[in-house]
Amino acid sequence: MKRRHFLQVMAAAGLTAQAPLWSPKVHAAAPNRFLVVVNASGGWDPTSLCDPKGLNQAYQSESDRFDGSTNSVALDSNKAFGNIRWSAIPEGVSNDELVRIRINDQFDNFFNTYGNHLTVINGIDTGTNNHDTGNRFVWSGKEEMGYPSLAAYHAAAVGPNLPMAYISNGGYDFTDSLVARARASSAGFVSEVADTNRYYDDIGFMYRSADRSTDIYQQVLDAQAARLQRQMANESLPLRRKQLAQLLGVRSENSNLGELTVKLDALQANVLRDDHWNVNRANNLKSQAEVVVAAMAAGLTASANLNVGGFDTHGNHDASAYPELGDLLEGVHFLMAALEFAGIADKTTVVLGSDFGRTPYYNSGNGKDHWPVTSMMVIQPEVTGGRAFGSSTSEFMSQPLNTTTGAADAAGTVLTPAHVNLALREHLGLGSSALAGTYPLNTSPFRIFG
Amino acid sequence: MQISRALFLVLSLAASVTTLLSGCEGQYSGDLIDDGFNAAGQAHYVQQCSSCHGIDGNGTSVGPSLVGCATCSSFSVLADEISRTMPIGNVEACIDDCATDTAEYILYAFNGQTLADALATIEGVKNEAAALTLRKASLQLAGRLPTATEMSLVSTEAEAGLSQALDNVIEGEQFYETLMAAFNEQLLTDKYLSQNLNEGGINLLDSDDYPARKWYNDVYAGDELSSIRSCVRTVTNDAVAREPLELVRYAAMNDLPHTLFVTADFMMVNWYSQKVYEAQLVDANSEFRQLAEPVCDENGVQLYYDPTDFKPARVTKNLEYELGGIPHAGVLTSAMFLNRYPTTNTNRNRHRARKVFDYFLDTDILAIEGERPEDGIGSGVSNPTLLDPACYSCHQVMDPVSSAFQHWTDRGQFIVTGASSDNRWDGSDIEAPGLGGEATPISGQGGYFRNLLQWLGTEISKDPRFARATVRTLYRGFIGNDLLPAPGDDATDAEKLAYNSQRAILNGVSDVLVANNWDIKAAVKALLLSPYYRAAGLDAEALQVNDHIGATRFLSPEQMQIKLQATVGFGWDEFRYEDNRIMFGGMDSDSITERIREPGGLIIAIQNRMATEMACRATAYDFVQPNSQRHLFPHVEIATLPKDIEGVARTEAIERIKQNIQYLHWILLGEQVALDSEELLATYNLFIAVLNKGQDMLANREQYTPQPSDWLEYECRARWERQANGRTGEGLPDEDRIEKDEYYSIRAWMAVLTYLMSDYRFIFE
Repeated sequence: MKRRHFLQVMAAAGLTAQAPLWSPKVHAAAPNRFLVVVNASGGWDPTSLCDPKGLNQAYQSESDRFDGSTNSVALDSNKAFGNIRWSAIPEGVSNDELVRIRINDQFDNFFNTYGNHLTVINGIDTGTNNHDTGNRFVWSGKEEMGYPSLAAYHAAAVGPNLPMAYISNGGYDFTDSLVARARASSAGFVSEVADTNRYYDDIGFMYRSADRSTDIYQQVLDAQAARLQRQMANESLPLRRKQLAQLLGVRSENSNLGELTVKLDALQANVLRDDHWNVNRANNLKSQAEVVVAAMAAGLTASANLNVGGFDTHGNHDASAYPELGDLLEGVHFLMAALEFAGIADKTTVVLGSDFGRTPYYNSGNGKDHWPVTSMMVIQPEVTGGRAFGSSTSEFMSQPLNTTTGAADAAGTVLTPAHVNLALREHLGLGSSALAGTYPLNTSPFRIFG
Repeated sequence: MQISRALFLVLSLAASVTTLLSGCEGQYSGDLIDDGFNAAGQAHYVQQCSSCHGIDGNGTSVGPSLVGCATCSSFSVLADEISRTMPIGNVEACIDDCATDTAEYILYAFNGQTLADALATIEGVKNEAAALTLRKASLQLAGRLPTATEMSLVSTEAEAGLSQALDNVIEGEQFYETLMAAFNEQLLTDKYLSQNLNEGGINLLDSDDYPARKWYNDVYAGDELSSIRSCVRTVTNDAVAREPLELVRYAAMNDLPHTLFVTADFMMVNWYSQKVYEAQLVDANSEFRQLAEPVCDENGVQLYYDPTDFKPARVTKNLEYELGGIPHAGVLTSAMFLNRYPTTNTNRNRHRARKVFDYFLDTDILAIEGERPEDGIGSGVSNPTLLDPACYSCHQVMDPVSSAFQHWTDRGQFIVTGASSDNRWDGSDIEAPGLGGEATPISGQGGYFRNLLQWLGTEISKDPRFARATVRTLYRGFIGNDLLPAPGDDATDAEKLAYNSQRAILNGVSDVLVANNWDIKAAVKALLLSPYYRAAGLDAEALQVNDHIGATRFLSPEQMQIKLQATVGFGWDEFRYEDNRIMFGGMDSDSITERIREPGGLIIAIQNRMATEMACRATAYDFVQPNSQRHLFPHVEIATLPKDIEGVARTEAIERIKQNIQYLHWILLGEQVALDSEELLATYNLFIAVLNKGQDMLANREQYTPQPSDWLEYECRARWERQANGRTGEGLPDEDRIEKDEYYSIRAWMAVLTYLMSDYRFIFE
C-alpha cells in the first residue's frame, strides 16, 4: 500500500500513523479558538475587491485614465451577497478571456461560498501611505511601534507555551516577546525532529527499550531539567533569567510535533490543492495553509500569519492586481477547506487585510499608488448573512461613521485599524485578557461584528 | 494632531515653521537640579530650548532627545550646530556666547559621563571575566576557541591582555564574514546569492550595459561543459551579489576608513565578477590570487582563482546610455543596493532616500510625521509634497536625497537625466538634490550634476550621524539586539536612564570609530569591551530597565554551525538546507528578513535533535584522533573507567574523567566549573549513571527488548571522516575505525555531550 493511501485510510478510520507507543506527557490544552491572518503584502486595492466604485469619474482632474474613474469597470449589481458588494473583472486584466473568466469565478465563488460567514469592513483610515506603518497599524491597532500583532496577541492569550504557538510566514509579526514565533516551511524537517532521539523505526541514538521502561535519553532529559532549574535559581542577569524562563516553559510542554506530520499527511492526501478551484494556482498560499492548519489540528498552534505579495501595483494595476486578488481568494478558499477537513473551521477566525489601499484613480502608468483608505474582511464561524460594516465615500475617502450601524454619520467617528483591532479582540474573546491592560487600544468601540 | 518628533530636521522651511513651532510653546514641568555648571547656558536652555527638548534633555513629542545626540560628541560641533540652526525659526537668537554656553550646559547636564567611563561601565552592571569575553568573542567572530597564547595573555594581564587578544580575534577571515553578515542583516543584499535565486545578482545587471554579464555561457558553452559552467555561474553570481558587502570587508581588512562604504569611487570585484563588468582594476598591476586547490573542477576544467579575493575596480567602459562608465559612490551606486531598494515613476527614489536616512544617517524619516489631516489624505492641493505643509515637513528632508538618485533607474541602470534623455526627471515637483538643507552644487566647474551620489556619499561621510548609524548596525549585528527606542513623553526615569546610558556608551564607540580613522575594527572592539557585550550580572535596583543588558543571544543557524565546527570539529549536515536554517530562526534576506531571537518549542526540538545527532556522530569519531588533536576528549580514553574490573574505584581515572567534563563545560558552554562544583558533579553523575546502566544492560542483554549490543548504532560509529558541513567524507582505514563500545563508555560520553549541547548556554552565547 502506498504511504499516501495508507495514511488516507488511517485518517479515515480515525487512526494515526506514527502514533507513539508510549503515553505522551501532558501537554498544553489545545486552543478552542484559532486565528489565521492573511496579509496581502504591498497594499491592496479595496475598490478592485470589496469596496468597488465603478466608473465614477470622480478624479478627472487627477487622471485621464478611464475618465478619472476609480475603477476601469462598471459596478455589477449581480455581484452581491447580503450587504456585501464586490468588483467585476475589467477587460484590461488580460486579453485572454479564459483568464478573465477564471478570476471572475474566483471572486464570485469566494463571496458566494463564504458570504454567509463574512464581514467586510470598509472605509478604514490607516492615516498613512507608508508600508511599514500601515502594516503595523492594520495588524496591531497601533500606529507606533511596540504592540504585538493581532495573531501574536491571540497566541499569547490562548496558548503561549504551545510549541509552535504562533506561526509566521512574514508580514507584521512583532511579538514583543509575548510568544515565540515559529517558521514552519518544511514539514519533513518537523517530522524528523519530532522525536529527537529517534534513529530509525523505534530505535534511538541512545538506547530505549520497546516499552520505554529503560530509556537512556530520558536520563539525559531529566538531568537537563534539573540543570535548568539550577540555572534559573543562580542567574542574576534579568535578560538571561527571562530566556531561561521561556526555555523552561517550552521544555515543560510535550512538543508533540509528530502529530503535525500525521495531520499534514492526512490533509495533503484529502484536500488537494488542484481540486480547490484551479490547477497550479495560489500554491504559495496553499502551501502555507497546509502546514498551519495541520499544526493547529495537532494542537501545536493557536494563530498564524499567512503572507502573500504582489499587491504594490504602481504600474499596470488591472493586469497585476486582479489576478493576485483572485489567487488570494483561492488561497483562502483552500485554507477554509483545510480547516473544514481538520475539523476546526468552526473554531477559526480568518482575517484578510493589507498595508493600506490604493489611489482612487489610475496614474500615467495605468498603476495605482498608495492611499490610506482600506478594507478588511473577516470570515468567522458565526453566520453573518453577508455583513458589510462601514463605508468609504464615493470618492473613496474615509468618513465619520456611526459606531453602532457603521453607516455614514456626520456626528460619528472615522474608523481606523485601532477600532477594527479592538473589535477583533472582543470578537475573539480576548477583550478581558490581561494583555489588554498592557496593550490598550484607547478608542471608542465600533460594533463591527454586531 | 500629530507633529514630528524629529522636528530638529525641519530646518529651513519658513512656511511651516509657524505651524510646527506652535507645538513647542507648552509649559514644561519638573525641577532642574543646579549643581554649579554653566548657569548662563542653563538659562539660555530653559528659555529657548527646553519647551521642545524637555527640561531634562530627553526630548518631547516635538523635539528629539539631546542625550547622546548626533552633534553632542564634541563641544565645538554642538556649539556650531546651535549657532547655525537653533532655535528653529529664529536662528539668530542664539549665536556666539549663547551658543557656546548652551552647548556647554547640554554636554555637562545631559551627556555628563566621560567617554572613558562610559565605555567601560554602566552603574550597577558587573562585567564577566576577561577569559569568558575572549571565549565568546573568539567563537562568534573568529569561529574558533581562544588559543593557549591568548588565554595566557588574559590570565596574566587581565583586561589589557583581553584587549590585546581581541586584536587577534578581529583579524581572521571568519571575522570579516561575520562583519559582512552584520551589514547584510541591514542591507539584505544576500537575497541575490545563488542559494536564494539562480543568477539572482547577475540578472539585475542590464544586458546592454554588461553584455559579458554571463561570460561563462560563452566560455563554457555546450552540454559537455555544463558542470563547469554551473560551478562558475554560481561563483560569479555570488561575487556580484556580495559586491556591496565586500566593500565593508575591504576597508576593514586594509585598515582603510569605513567611510568608503559611501564614498568609494570604485567597486569590488573578484576574478569572476571582473569579467561580468569588464571592469578596470584600480591597481592595474595587481593580479588575483590563485589557490592550491581548484575552486571549480568539472568537465576537465580547473579554476584556481580565489573567490574571496576582491579588488577595487571601476567600470570605465561606455555603457548603453553613458560614455565613460559609472561615477562610483560606494554602496550607493551598487546595482545590488539599488535593486534591493527599487523605485517607481511615482515613488521617485523616496524609498531609497528613506533607507539612506535609516542606514547611513540613523534617522527614521517616518518619525517626521508632520501634521496629518484626520482623513490621512491631505488638503487636496496639487503637488502636496512641496506645497502642503503637512507633507512638506517630511519631504523637504527626504526629497533632496531622492533627487540625488535621479540618474539611477528603477533597475539601477545609470542614465543621466535630461530633456532628451531616456531617463526623464521632472524637477518641478520635488526638491533639488542636497542633504540637510545644503543643495548639491550642480553646474559649472566642479558641479556634481553627473556625480550626484558621489556628492551625497561625501556629505554622508562628513555627517556625525554616519558614525552613529554605523555603530547601530554593529550593535545589532554583534550584540544581537535593537537599540532602545528614544523615551517618549510618558517614559519613566528608569527608562530614561537606560536610554541615556546606552546613548552615552554608543557615542563613545562612535568617537572611537572616528578617532581611529574610521577603522571599523576599533568600533567592534569597543563594543566587545562594553558592558552590553560583557554583562554578567546587575543590580536591578540600580538599573531597573535592564532587559537589554548582556549580549546573551540566541545563535543563528550560521553561528551555530560555526560553533559546532569550532568545538566539535564539524557541523550539522541539516544546516546545509535553507528551509531548515529558517526553521531554526534564520533568514533568507528575501521573504524572511528578520532572525528569530526567542526560540519556541519547534526550535528547541531542533536543538535537541541536533544535540543527539551530533553527539552520536562526534563521540567515537573524536576518540579516533590522536589525543593531542581531539576536540572533545583530550583527557580520557575509551577505557578510562571509574572502577576497575573488581569494582574498586580508580582515583586517577576519576580525576581525568572530571577534568574532561570540566573541559567540556568550558569549550561547549563557556563555564569555568571547579572539579568539586555542583555543576561538574551533576554532569559526572550523569556519566556514571549511564555507564552503570549500560554495563548492566550489556551484562543482562536477554532481559531487554531490543537486546542491547556492543555495537554502536551505525550512525554513531567512527567509520568515515566528517566534513566541515557535517557530511560524511572518505572512509576511515579499517584499523582506525571504532564501531563497538564494550565498556559502554562511548555511549556514556554521548549522553554527556547530548546533555551539554542541548543546554541553554549552548544555544545562547
